[in-house]
Amino acid sequence: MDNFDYLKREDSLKLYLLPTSAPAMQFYIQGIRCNKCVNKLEHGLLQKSDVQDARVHFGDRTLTVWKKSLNGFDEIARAIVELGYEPVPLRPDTDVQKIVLKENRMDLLRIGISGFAVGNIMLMAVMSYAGADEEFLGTFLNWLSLGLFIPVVTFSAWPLYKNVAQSLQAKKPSIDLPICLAIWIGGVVSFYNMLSGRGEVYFDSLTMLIFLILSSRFVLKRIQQRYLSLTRVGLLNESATVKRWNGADYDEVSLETLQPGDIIRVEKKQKIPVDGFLLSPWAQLNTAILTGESMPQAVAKGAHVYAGTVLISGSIDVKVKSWGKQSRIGQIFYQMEQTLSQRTPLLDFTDRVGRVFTFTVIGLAIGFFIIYAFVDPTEAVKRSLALIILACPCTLAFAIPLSQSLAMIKCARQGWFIKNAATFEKLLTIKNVFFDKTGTLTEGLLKVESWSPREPSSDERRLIKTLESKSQHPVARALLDHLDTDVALEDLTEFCEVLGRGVFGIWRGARYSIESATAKTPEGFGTSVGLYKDDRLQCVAHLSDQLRSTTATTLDRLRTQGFKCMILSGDSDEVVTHLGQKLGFGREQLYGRKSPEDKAWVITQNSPAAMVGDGVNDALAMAKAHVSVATYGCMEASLKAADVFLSEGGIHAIPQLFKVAEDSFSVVKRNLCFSLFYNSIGAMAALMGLVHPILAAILMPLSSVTVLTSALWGTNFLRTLPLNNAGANR
Amino acid sequence: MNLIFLLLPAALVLGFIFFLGFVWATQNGQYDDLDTPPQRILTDDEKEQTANERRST
Repeated sequence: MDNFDYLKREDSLKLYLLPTSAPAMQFYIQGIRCNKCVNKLEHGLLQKSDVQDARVHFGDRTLTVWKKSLNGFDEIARAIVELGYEPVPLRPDTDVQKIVLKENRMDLLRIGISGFAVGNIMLMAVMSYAGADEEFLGTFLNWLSLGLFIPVVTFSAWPLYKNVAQSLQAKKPSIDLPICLAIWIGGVVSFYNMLSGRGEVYFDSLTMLIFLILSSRFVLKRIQQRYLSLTRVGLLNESATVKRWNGADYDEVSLETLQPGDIIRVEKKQKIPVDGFLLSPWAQLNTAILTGESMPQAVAKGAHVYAGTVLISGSIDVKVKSWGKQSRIGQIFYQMEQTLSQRTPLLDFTDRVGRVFTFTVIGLAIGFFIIYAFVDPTEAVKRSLALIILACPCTLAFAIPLSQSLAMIKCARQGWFIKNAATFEKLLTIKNVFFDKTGTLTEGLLKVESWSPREPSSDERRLIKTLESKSQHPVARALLDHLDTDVALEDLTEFCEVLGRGVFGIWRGARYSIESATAKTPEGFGTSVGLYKDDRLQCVAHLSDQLRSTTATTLDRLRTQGFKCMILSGDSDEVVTHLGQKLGFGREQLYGRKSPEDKAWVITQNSPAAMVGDGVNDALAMAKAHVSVATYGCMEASLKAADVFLSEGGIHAIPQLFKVAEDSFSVVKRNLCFSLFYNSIGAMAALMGLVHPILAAILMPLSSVTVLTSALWGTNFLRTLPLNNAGANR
Repeated sequence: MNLIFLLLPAALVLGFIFFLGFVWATQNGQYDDLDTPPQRILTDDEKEQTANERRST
């Protein structure tokens, strides 16, 4: 990730520059936490001579840098790294950005107008209710209210009408339908009553309703937009250059100019940019991105190598087969994006309630009208219309977005980042939970567990340290972490590393090596390496990927709550079985040796399922899952596929996540009860012809206040999640 | 009491002027980012250059 050289090249730089007069680039910054970060980044970058301006957007976690000249953006990226942050250059997606910006400003204007109107109408309504209903003054106030109501009902409420039109086209009436009906019927009835000088005028309540719905929806929208910039993170670095063999030497060319059959060179520690065949005798690759397997894989000449895998040592030649979107990893990401974009938005609970409501209320109104028309036709019209206005479930329309926003903010403070409020509802339908192994259930790092038959002596420790210090192998890193001696042996000679075998060296006349040992580990899985002196085994280190401390208890908790837990891993069956048995999984709950495509298939077979894993190598499975939770790896890539990102690592927050979903749903249900209660009183009053302006004036605000309080009050559990907590990790 | 027929519209006109101010501020992008300014204000300026001049976009 730390190589920003591609920002030097003009053709790839073009992909990232913002279309502004001064050269500018936007970065997604991981690790922005507080105001210190904002200042550190802005001031740190402004000290560079050619930086014109640097601005952090705290909510989006983005940083925009304006420069005086075109070159040097790679240095900016490195400077950000030096300041202690991880920058990811964002491609300008100006169309989406502009649309979002325009929409947000438009929304604010609509809210502003309705707010302005509601404040003033309320003042006049108070006067009316207080008795200012003398012939002339009353009419005057009503006309002023109408003047304020008209821009609200036309301009401000426009998004509501658009929603209704869309939902009617999809033949799925949403909660906006009864609301719009109530607004318009209420408006027309009020206008008629105003002219006739008899009956009630609802302009004040209707304006208030529109204002509350618009504001609560805007709050939720802004919270969900927080992760919008992540859609601009490129998962594949298509702008990379490759070294192509031209018959005599290697040329630096860009990826797009490659032809199948070309031969390219890949250096140590580089990501292989293409799918192809290995031409070198053999290579050692980290294929974690495709298999989740953390140990390096050795492949021989002629074998398939895949884009995205990392070459661990040496340099190799690869015959190109495909790259970019055509490569296997490109296909996986492409399918993931396709799946995500085709996911039909869930018809949420509010809308389902709204549908039932609409049919009931309209049915009731029509039924009443038909029966009562025989008694008194004009009164029948009046009462049925009053019913539609007073029985509108409008409080739900603003209480639900509000309680969802609150839950999302609280979760984010805990370090649980939720992309969309619909996730809460989807969580409630989950029966099966699939866990990835490496990094999710385990730490994702090899560690030395024990030595046999004895611990190495201090000389041996220094020897191991010196031998392994030059190796890139995960085993070497684990050994180096484990041994605390820092003195290197000076007189070690003829050091060499044989890929796939081990490291060798000569010290004081004896030939030492560290190779994989055949002795089984006490655990029965993991890796063992032995230190050999002249081919005689001295001691063996047993290494394994440790379970996270919270894994077992969390799994037990989930099982007692009635979830079916399963392991879905790319690792070998043997490893998965061993780990699964240790954690109390049944044999049929273990899926080992699964490619990314297989994982996605298993998920679709077990729907509705949740997938918990690392966002990149499980991306496809996550996109197919009903709900996906990423617990490992970097946030920006993970949140592209996953619905939830848990920043603490490990799975211990998952039971709590289910609890948040459950509790916020019970708040919704409670609000529904309140709302139904008030609405049925309103409906009864309307049908009995008891409607008096003061009734609407009391009932409407009272139900709003009850439902709002209930939404903000939450539940016992939701209250334990603090709103202000420094514990937010990222 | 008749004064109210003058005062009410006058109050509305006054309110409308402030509303125009709100429209202007919104179109100017003052409400685009509500998260960063409250963070930025907490630390002292060191060398706040003429940032507004530079951002011509």
